[in-house]
Amino acid sequence: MTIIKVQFPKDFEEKYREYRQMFLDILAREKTEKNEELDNAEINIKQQDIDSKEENLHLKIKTAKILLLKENEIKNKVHTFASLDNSFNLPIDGLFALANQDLIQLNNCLLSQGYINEYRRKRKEFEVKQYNIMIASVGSGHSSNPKETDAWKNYLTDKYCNLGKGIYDELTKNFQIETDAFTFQSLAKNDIARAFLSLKVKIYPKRIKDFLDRKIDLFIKDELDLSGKPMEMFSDKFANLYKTQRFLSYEKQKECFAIAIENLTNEQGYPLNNLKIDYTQIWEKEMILQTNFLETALGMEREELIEIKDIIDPIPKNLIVATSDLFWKYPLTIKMKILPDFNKYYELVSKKYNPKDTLKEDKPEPEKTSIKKEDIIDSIESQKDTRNEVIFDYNNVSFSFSGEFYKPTEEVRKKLLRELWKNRQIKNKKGEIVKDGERKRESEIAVLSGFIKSEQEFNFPENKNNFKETIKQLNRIFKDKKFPLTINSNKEGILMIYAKDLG
Amino acid sequence: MKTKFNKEKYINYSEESIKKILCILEKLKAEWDLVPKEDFREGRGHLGYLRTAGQSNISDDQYFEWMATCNLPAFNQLENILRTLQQENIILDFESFDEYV
Repeated sequence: MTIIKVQFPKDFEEKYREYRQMFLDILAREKTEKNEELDNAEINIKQQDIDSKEENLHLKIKTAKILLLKENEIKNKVHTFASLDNSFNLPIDGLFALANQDLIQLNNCLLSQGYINEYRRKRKEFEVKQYNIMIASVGSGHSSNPKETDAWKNYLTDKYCNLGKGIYDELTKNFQIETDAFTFQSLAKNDIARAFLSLKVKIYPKRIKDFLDRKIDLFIKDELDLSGKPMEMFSDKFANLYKTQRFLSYEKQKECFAIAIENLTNEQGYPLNNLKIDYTQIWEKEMILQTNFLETALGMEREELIEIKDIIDPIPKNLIVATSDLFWKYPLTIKMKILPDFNKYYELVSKKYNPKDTLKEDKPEPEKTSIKKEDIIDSIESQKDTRNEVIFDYNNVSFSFSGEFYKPTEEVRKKLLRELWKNRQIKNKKGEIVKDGERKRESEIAVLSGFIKSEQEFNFPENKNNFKETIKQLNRIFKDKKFPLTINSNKEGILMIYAKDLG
Repeated sequence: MKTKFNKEKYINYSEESIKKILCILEKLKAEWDLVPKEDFREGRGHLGYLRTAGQSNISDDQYFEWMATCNLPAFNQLENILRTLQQENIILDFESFDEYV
């Protein structure tokens, strides 16, 4: 565990004030210069793209797209950070990064007084927990986990609730205060404060769209370096490791995407207009670090193959959990609509990966194929016909019991036959049709309805029980309808089924 | 020894890096508020240890949080900023060491 030992001079406070002011002056000057540039000339961001690699590019792209998708819900309304993160899946770092590039503006950054109360409540909780741990560890010789308690101790034992004296004093007097950018940015990382920070987001949709278009165009050309920090915690030990991350080309990723979409829509039957797809459906777990899921989707949208409707992040907090189970269990999901051009593109991809298909298509035999289709349809229809011979006609069925004849109402008749037919009737492939007025024994009906193959099998207790269960169901139906009869399979009852041949 | 702030030195710095320096400066200020301003002995007898005035030990949890909030991707960036501040005499000295060595 590395520790930094810092020695402060005695006049630190004076120097701090002096230097802070100086740095702020430089920043202010830079900002005015920047504004002048913006006013006078077009934004020469293209040059910037080439000159320097931007940090957190993936985060910026994701945030920008979400902002565009949810513009109406977000703009000119007051939000807390917690709500932005949880309900809109907007990463806080991404918002700040976009604000630094003047793509959005964060206004009315307010911290409300509830923060102090919440902080104190947490502190009390912590103190009670510490006390309990202390009591529990008396005599055992073991102290509590020092790492955890130290971190919390530093965090929760601040006299001014981690705000600094000036802001703390102001906040105790006022219900809400407006904070400066630095405090606001650092407080946004604070779990307690996030619920008490509110702001208005002013969105410049045109600028964001330009930014996105430029980045995605570069991505399509494979000129965008998206290697990002995999885990901040390790970054001191592997400072430049993330730069070695390499990705598949856009074309390759797009092909994988298209195959997955085709598989989901045509084979598995998900809707074309409302398809939800995530990276687990496209790539394997080992491949995921070499791919750009979101950027590929945006590239496809730019090429008008799909239309992105929503980006859903099941893990609301901006966790960096690459290749862990959580990452795989709750993947980023994109809701999209498949546009007509996609089919043309998929044909090209399928030709590339299935050369047999191309050979087939090369041969000019369109007539044969059409005839084949008709044949298939005919055969299906003929199959249907044979089935119809087997199946009873529901609409014209009545039955009698112990010599008495009943014509049940339509509902009951349907129910009765549904019970018989649903379970077993399909299995009756003999095509035997009950003639009008013909009497059938239970065993015969059992054969007819597909319970058993021969009447001898009716003597097996299993078959008998199964049939009895169906009869019980029938009994229930009749009880509901208050029919004046009871069906009892033990009696020498004959269930009559009048059927009509559909053919 | 009082040095003058060399503004020209920082003019070529990017806006983002100045923001990072400022952010670390704020963190150091918060740390300064907690640091003992005079020497004192913590604990009793030979078990106690001396806490020197103006000296602060920053744990890894703490500087990881600094790095996260100030948008510093690597530890060497934090070191660079501290070194810059040392050159300006805002802090007298700093060293990083492993606790268990």
